[in-house]
Parts: sequence; C-alpha cells; structure tokens
Amino acid sequence: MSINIFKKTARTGNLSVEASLYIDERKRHGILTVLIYLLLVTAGVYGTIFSFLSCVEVPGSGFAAGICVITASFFMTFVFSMKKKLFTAALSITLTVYAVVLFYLRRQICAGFFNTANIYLAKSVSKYRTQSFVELISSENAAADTQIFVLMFIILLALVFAYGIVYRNNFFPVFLFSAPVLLLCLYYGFVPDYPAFISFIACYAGMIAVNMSMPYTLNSKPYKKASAQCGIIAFAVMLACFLAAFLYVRLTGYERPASVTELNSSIKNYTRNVSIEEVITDLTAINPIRIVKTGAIDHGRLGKDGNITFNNKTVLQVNIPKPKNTFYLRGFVGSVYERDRWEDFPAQKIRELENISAGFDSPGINVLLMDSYNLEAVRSADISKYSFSVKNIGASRDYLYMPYNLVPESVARYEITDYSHFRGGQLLINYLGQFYDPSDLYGYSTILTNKWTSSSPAVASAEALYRRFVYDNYLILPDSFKSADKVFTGEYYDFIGAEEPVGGKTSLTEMIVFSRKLYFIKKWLRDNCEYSLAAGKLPDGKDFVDYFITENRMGSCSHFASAAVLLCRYAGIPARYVEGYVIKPNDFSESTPFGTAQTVNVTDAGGHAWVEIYISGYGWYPMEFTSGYGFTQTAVTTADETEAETAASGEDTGSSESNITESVTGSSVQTDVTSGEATESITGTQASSADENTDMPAVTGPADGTGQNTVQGSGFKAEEYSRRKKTSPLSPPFNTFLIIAGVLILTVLGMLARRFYIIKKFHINAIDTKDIDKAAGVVYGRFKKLLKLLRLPGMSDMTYADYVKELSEASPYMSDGTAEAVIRTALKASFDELPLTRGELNEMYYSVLNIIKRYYGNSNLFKKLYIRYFLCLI
Amino acid sequence: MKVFYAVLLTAAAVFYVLYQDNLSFLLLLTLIIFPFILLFCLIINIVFMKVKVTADSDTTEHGKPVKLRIRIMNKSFFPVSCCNIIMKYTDLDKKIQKFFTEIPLPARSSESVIFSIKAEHCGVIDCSVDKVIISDLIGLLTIPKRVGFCKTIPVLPVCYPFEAPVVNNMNTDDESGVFSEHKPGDNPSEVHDLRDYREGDSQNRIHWKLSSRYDGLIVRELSEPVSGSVLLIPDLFSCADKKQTDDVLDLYATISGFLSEKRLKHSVIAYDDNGITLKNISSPADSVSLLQRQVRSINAEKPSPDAWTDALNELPAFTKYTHIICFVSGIRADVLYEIEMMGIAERISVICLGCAKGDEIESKLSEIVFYNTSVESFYEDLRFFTV
Repeated sequence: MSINIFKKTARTGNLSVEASLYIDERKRHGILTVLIYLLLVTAGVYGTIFSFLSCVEVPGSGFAAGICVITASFFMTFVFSMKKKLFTAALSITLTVYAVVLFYLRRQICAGFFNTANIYLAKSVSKYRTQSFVELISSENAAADTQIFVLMFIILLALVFAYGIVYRNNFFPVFLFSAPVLLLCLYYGFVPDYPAFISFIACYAGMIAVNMSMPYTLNSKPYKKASAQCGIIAFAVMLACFLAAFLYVRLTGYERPASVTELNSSIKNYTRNVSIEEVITDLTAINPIRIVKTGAIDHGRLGKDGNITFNNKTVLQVNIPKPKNTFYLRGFVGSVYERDRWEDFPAQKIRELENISAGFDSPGINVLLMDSYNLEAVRSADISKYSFSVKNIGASRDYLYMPYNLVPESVARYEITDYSHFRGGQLLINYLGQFYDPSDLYGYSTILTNKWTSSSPAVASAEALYRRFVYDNYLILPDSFKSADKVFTGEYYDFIGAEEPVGGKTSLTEMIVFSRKLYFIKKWLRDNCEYSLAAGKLPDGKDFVDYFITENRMGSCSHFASAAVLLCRYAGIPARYVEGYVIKPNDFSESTPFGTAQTVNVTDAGGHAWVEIYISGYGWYPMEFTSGYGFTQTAVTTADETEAETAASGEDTGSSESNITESVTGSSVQTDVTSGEATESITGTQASSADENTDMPAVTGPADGTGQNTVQGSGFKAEEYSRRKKTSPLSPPFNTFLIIAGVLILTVLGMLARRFYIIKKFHINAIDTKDIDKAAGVVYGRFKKLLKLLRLPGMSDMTYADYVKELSEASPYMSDGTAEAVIRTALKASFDELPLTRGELNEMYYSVLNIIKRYYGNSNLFKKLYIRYFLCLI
Repeated sequence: MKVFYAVLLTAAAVFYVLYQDNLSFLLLLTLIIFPFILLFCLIINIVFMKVKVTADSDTTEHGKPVKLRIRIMNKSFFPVSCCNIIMKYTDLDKKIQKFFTEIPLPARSSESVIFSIKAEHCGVIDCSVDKVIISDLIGLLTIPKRVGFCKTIPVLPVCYPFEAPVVNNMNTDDESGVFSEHKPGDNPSEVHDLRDYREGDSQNRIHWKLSSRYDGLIVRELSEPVSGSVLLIPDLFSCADKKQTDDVLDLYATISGFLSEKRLKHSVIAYDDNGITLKNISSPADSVSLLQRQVRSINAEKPSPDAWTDALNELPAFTKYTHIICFVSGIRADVLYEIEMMGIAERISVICLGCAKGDEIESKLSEIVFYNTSVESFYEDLRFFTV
C-alpha cells in the first residue's frame, strides 16, 4: 500500500503543477532507524561530556558517568521516538521529574556547578583567573555535589541531543549546548581524550547529514529512514577519516613542521606585546577604562610602562627565617633578548636542553639544576639548612618563586585533595622546602675567582656538555645592541689586563680577569646610570638597553639587569636575565631576631630583576647589578664590599689557586624530576597537562589549618620549575589577533545560523502551516521586505488600484502583474470572510519568490550577499 | 554549506597553528579528507542510480491533469541525502517555469515522484526533466545526473456527448453510413419507408409478406445514403480571453466529434501552423489531429480579417455546403456578411458563446441563424439545433 507523504504545488497563471511522493507503507522507518538515532545521541553526549571531563578531571568514576550517558541517551531517544500521544505524556513526565529532582537537589547542583567551574579555572592558564574566580557555596561533600551536577548535566545533554537529532532534526539547539563545552576545553589549551573528541565531531557530522536529508516539512516521519541512514554513514565516514589521519600520524611519526612552530612563535611574540589593557583602552577610547598595571616586572617585557607604580597588594606569603640581607625568590628567566623583551628559549632549544639532561644518566647530578655541583659538598658538610614556604596568592601562576640553593629533595608542592580551600576567591599554590647559604661553604671572592672542576668523570662530561650549550646560547647578542663601545673603552681593557693587581699578586688568572670584568661592569652601571622608577616608556623603534646606556641613563632594576646581561655577554661571560621577588630584612618586624622564621607578605613592590652568570664548573650564580643594592649583593651570599674588591684584585683569599673539586660519587637524590608547571592536580587523577610529571619530594607535613595536605613525591628540577611553565598548547587568547579572528568567525557562523533559522522558520510558518491566512501574512511580510529593499512605498492610505499603479510605474519588477496578484491575495486574506485556498497561497508565495529571484539575478555581488545573508530573502 | 565548510577549514587551520598538540593536526587532516570520501560516495551513487520518466498519456484536456512519473532507483549502498528533481515546463503563455522537488533516498531503494500537471485552458505544455542533482551526505558537493526527458503535451478541448438530427438537403454519398430521413434512394442497406404499390415500381421491391396480410401490395422504399457537406469555422481569434477560446474550442470539438462519429465527412476552416486553411475531416483521428494543431497555434498572432476572406475564396469551385456552422465569441459582422454573400451554403448557423448579438447585425444578416449559448447551457440552448 502506498501512502502519499508530501504534496507540493505551484501555480503560475493558468497552469498548476503538483508534485506528490508516494512510498510503500513497509518502507517507513523501523527499529533500525531508532537504533541509529540512539547511536548518534549517545556519541554526541559521550563526546561532549567526556571531552570536558578528560580535561577538567572532576571527581567521580568514569564508569558511572559512562553508564549515565548510555542510560540517559537510551531513555531520551526512546521518548522522542514515541508516537505523538505517548510522546507528549512521556516527555511531560520526564520533564516534570527532572524539574522536581533539580529543585530538590538545587543546592548540591549549585555547589557542584561552582566546584566544576573552580576546577576548570584552576587548571586554566589565565592571568584573569583570580578576578573571575567564583566563591564556592560551602558544602560538606563537594565531590558528591560535583558528581550530581555532572550527572544532571548529562541528562540535560541527552535531552537536547535527542530533541535535535530524533525529534526536530535541528542541530542548532544542540550546537548551542554542546559546542561551548568543548570550546571551553580547547580554549585554555587542554587536550581532550581523542575517542571522546572524535565521537563529538563524528556525531556533528551525522547530525548535519540527518538535517540535510530532512526536507523542511512538519511531516518528517516518512523521511526518517533515509535521514538515519545518511546520519550513520556520515558518522562512520568521519570516524574513518579520523582513524586514517591518526594512523598516518602514528606510522609516519609526524612532527610539527618547523615553519608552523615558527609561525606559532611569531604569533605568540606578536601577541605578547599586546596586552588586554591596551586592547580594552583602545576599544573604549571614548570612555576609556584605565587598567593600571603595577610593579616593576612584567614577564620579561621591557619599557612598556612609563612610571612604575605599586598598589601594595600581597602577591606572595613567604615564611622564611629572617635574613640579614635581601632574600631572593627566583621566577622568570629570560635567555633570549629581543630589543624590548626577554624570552625563554624556543621549543627547539628547550628540547636540546632536555636531551642534554636526559642523555646524562649518572645519579645525583643534573645539569639543569643550578648549583647541583655543590650538592655533595652540601650534604657532606655540616651546614645549616633553612626551611621556607611560599603561598602564591596574586603573583603569576606561570612560575614557582623559589629561593636559591635549594635542597632538592626537600621541596614539596601541595596537592589539593579537597575543595574546601576554594574559598574567598583565593586560589592557593603552596610549596615549601629547604635551602642553604652557600657562603657557609665559600666566600664571594672564592666563588668568583676559583677554577671549579669536578673529580668525577661523569660530572665533568655532563658539565662539559652543558657548558658548551651555555657558551653557544648565552653569549648571543642581538643586532640591535650597539652601545657596547660606550662601556668597553680603553679604560676597561686597561683594568682587566692590569699586570700588577692590587695587593701584589703577580699572576693574572683567568678567573681574576673574570671577576674584574664583573666588577667593571657593575661599577660602570653604578657610576653612569641612575636608579629611577620614572624612566618613561621606551620610544618606538629603540633598543631597550641601548636607550638606557646611551640616552636615558636612568631606569629601574629591569634596566640595570638587562644592560648587565648584555654587557656580560659582550665581555664573554654567559649571563641571563631573572625576575622574581625580593624580601628585605626591614620587611620583617623589628622584634624578630635574625634567623627566626616569620611569615612575610610580599607585595608588588617586591618585584625585582637581577642577573645570573655562568661560572664554569660551578653553575649559574646570581648577581645584583642594580644601583642602590650592595655592591656584593647577590642572592646567595652575605659578602661585603671589600670582598668584592679583593676578588677583583685577585688577592689570594686562601683558596684561590686550589681547585675545588666536586666529588660526587653518588647520591640518594632521585633524579626523577618533576616539571616545573605551576598547576594543581587532584589526588587520584592525572594532571591536566599530558606531559606533566607529578612525582614530588617525599615530604610529609602537618596540615596547615586550611585543610591542605601534602603528598609523597620525589626529586625536583629547580631550573625547570623556575623556568616559565611549559607553554600551553594555546597561548592565552587575550590579544588582538585572536579577538579579531574569533569575532570574524563567530560573526560568519552567527550569520549562517541566523539565515538557517529564518529560512526554516519561514518555511514552517508560510508553507507547512495549516493556517493559510496567517501564512499569507508571513509571505506578505517578505514582500514588504522586498519593497523596502527596492525603496518602494508601502500601501498606507492608498486604494488598491492606485497602489498597484504606483508600484508598476516605480519599478520594472512590479509591472508584470505579479505584484498585483500578491497584494490582492494579501487583502483577501486580511479582509475576506472566506479563507484563502492553498492554491492561492502557493501562487502568492511563488509570485513573491519570482520577483525576488529576478531582482537577485540582476544585482551585483554585494547586493546578492546582502539579500542572501542579511535579509535572508532567498 | 560550502561557505560553512570553508569557514570550518579556515578555523581548523588557525587552530592547527595555535594549538600545539597533535589533535589540531588530526582535526585538520580529517576535515581535509572528509570531502574526498563524500565525493567518492557521491560518485558511487551517481554510477548506480537510474532515473526513469514516463507520462501516462500523450494528450490531455483542459482542467484534467496529466501525470509524469519520475522513478529514481538507488542501487548503491550509500543513501542520498538530497536528490533535487528539476522539472522545467512552459506554461500556456510560453513562459518557462521550473519546479523543484527535493527528496532523500535510502540505500538500495527507489522512490517515485508524480508530477500532476493540470492546465486550465487549451494549449500546449512542454515538459522536460533535464537532470536530477544529487547531493552528498552533508550537502557539500553536488553532481547532476542527466535524464534528458522531454515531452510536449497538447491540452485539448473537452468533447461533450452530443446528439442532433441531421437534416435533409444533403447530397447523395454512396459511401456514407448515414441515410436521409426525408428522401428515398436505392441503397438496400436500409429501408427508408413502406408504401402502397404504384405503377412503375419494381417487383423486387414488393414486400410479399406484408402484402399478403393487406389488401394491396406493399412496396419497400430503399434509403438514400447522404453526406452532409458541413463546414465548421471556429473563429478562435474573436475570443477575448482564454476562457472564451476554451468555450469555442469545446463546442467546435463537440460538434466535430459528433460528425466524425457519425462518419459524416465535414470540413473545417482552421488556423494552424500553415495559416488559415481548409481541412477535410473523415474520421475521429483526423478531428483529433486537427485539434492538436489548432491548440498549438492558440498563441499565434491573430490573422487579419482579409485572411479569412481569402481562405473562403479559395474554397473549391462550385462547392455548396448544406450547412456552415461558425463558432465565435465575438461577432465579426464583416466576415459573416461575406459568407452570406458568397452563397456557398444552404444554411448558416452562428453559435455565439458569451457574446451579445446586435439587432442590427441580425437584421442585416437575415440568412444567418444565431444561437447564443455557453458551454454550461448548450444542451438546453441547442436542443433544437440540427446539423
């Protein structure tokens, strides 16, 4: 038996055409169609939720979530596949039950939502994270609340997917719900699980195929078989394509081309120069919102600010014994200088460095650990070790601000085991450990003037490898640096080459020259440059250091440190730029004796920049070049000025000629290292970044009253954690390029979605509706849009005949009698008691469409785009 | 969809540059490969697809639909998300129109779409289905499949059932199957009448059986086969609109059909591709054939009044028609006067369809009988009409 499943009519003047489609009754959709829809719904829900969960790692069993996905998908598909009467009842019951459960568990669901948001924000990389942090609604069982929220969200997703795929064949609501969830994951650089991600993409392909194969008609049931087949084939094809791509990547060992990496770096470099503050300032030029950046350090960016200001807000809470001298916390390290900024090495160089480190397999020594050559001496000597702890409240999350001379195995990082500390908008990153004072072992001049060697061949060979890397990369000077001749005059060469050093020393050793160079540079900067917080912005096109040395001659710590690094490199001393925070003795209370631990609030005023130089055989050694600090001020010693002169003079300090060797025969220090990412991980789950190793030092400590617990761990790479966090797959997106590109893409997608929605709505209201008079009104509305486009007047108070005449005379598109028919039919629909017939409506619809098509055909490209995508007339 | 996919590819490319994990490359590669697989499926569909178009009849009448059946068979394992059938047709005003229908096709199945075309007026409809356009699963790519179907369907007038007495004064025609009701003849096929014997009657004609019952001899009078020399003149060009044209054609076709069925040969002055010419109709097939040619010429340029006169002047010499019937919707007094003056007919009837005849014309054309009627009421109005 055949059934007529659609009828479409057209009427042009004296001819009517009617198209009918008949299909066999037995060809209508059956159980297989429902199963296909079920597969698509399940894939979509699974892909969405598991992509998110794999990135954000909310607590709970994945198995339970999977069961919930399958159950909810099955149930919702079943409900939306029912026949009309049953469907209405079933859907009503389902929604009622859902609403009741939602109401009953509203507190838990709210708590779970905020939990999930907090976990997401905690894992994301955003300098606005603290500002956008949401206070958690306190609950007793945060993990359970989060699970409840996730389960309810799964049910809602299943409802939306089933509605879009099974019932309405409209993927717009599905897109609205599920796409932002996945975009949130990718936006902040997370990497979702591949199966979940491809399941999501394949489901979308299937949904689009289902939608494309379903004509615009309310009576869609007869098409379900064909559309389901199209959906499943598209789903399978997308899966196959992804699998093929995956196999290609695996089998060929695909590596990202260098050109793409360079493009990525250049985009990042470009975008780093643009701050969100500047963008917002530019965008709100009429009523500018001034966002004031405070503090002297800015992740290596130089000369962007005019006068340096401070807001004195606490960025770190540090607990250390009160020092006699300035205490340094090391953060950002800049190795590459680019005219107005310091940067870390590019990815290729970092890989090279890691290879050097990985290639060395002797325990106890790590070339990347700054002062690891001292470790054995530290362990064997009976020197004091001091404890420290740091809470990062408002400083950059990209770095762990660590003191120098760490005892590696002592360092522990807090792992968050519950959510109760998410309160008050504070996101806590805590770490603690021990450090020593190297001046307990060696004096300032000893460090600078002695030739350091190692008795262990393994150590020597490792250090040789690393030393080669250091000398290859940390002596590089940019072409924009042209002011070296201002400093390295004849006076310099006379000084460092003086054969008769002060004090009667006759032999000029390499290390004496080395220390003389440092002395000269430091003195030149102090004598010729002035410390000031009001150095002004770097003029466009100028080199930061050149400008400081040759023109401005005043600046803050970043000026002095940057200039010192370049001057040291010019003098043949490998050097690099460091930013961090300093704590001075007067930051402690006066009553606290030296050596007694006290917690100090470090503000943005504590931000500072200094220099590290490389001493062969010893490692990286921090030095202070900023005017106003002690001449011998370093981050690690308490030497005084006379010792610096002694070092520069080459006087025998008692051990200058002896080679202090490092005998490192083995170490109990595990070299399982952790990467230095400053992220928190949830105990029991994996870290969000795929390449993060969360082995931590074995430190246990009491809970500190805030509910934090520590966990076991192992060794620790100081250099890595001091270095900037490994670049997330996607740079922080607050930059002009991404904003503009994102806005453009969103605009295009929005226009396409709007067009799709308008046309579909028009079809439903004008073609498929049973109310013919209403449909005529909708069609007439489109006609009026056309009149507006043609700049023709509306009917207003004119009579029908006059109006038709005026239209005919005004436009050639209205002169063939078509417009007359349209207006006549519209008037009849409005005023005639008898309803219009379907044929009259069709004639009216096609008449309007014909006029639009003719006008469209005669328009230029811009007008065509306007008609098609803005007015959506065709 | 093309624009959307292009935007998606661009976004994936940007994503690939900015996102360092291999996932971005996988996504980009997948989106690049995907259209090629779709193209492959589409080509398979095209190769294994067959389209068949048939029409249920070669002609139709106005107001009645003619059906075109398009059967699309998808023999491949891949469904088709959208098969766009484009039917082009010219309406009665010779304007080309297109009719689009989109249907999905499941795998290994066939669907039939029936186009029912109904013309309100007589004329010709040209239908063609040049191609069907097949889309891939997501509507990204389309490939046309050539069908190449083309058909011209004449929309003929309606022939109503009609009966009218055939009058005398007809010429003897031995081949005619119609016998005169008024005068006897020599054709033994039919007995015209029975009468008393008169001197001179042939003995063969004596009806002996009847004569034995009566006093006197009864003679059979044989019938005379006659054929009406009827000339039909449908004046389509006096019609103001298509409705009137239809009415004229309907009645003309009705009477011509009646004559054809009675095997009464008649002639028609008609306007067709060759201009105004005289056509002899001897069978129903001739009548239909002439009708088809006439409807093709409906939209042709109207001939000048002289053309009619010229056509009449070209009638065979010494032709005298027993009856000339004109079918008009507007009185053309000059032509009718010309016909009357020519004296080529014993009777002239003018069937006016929806037109008003003036008394002046009636008085002037005294030999012409006017019948004012319409298609709806001609049964009533022509009940006294005789051919």
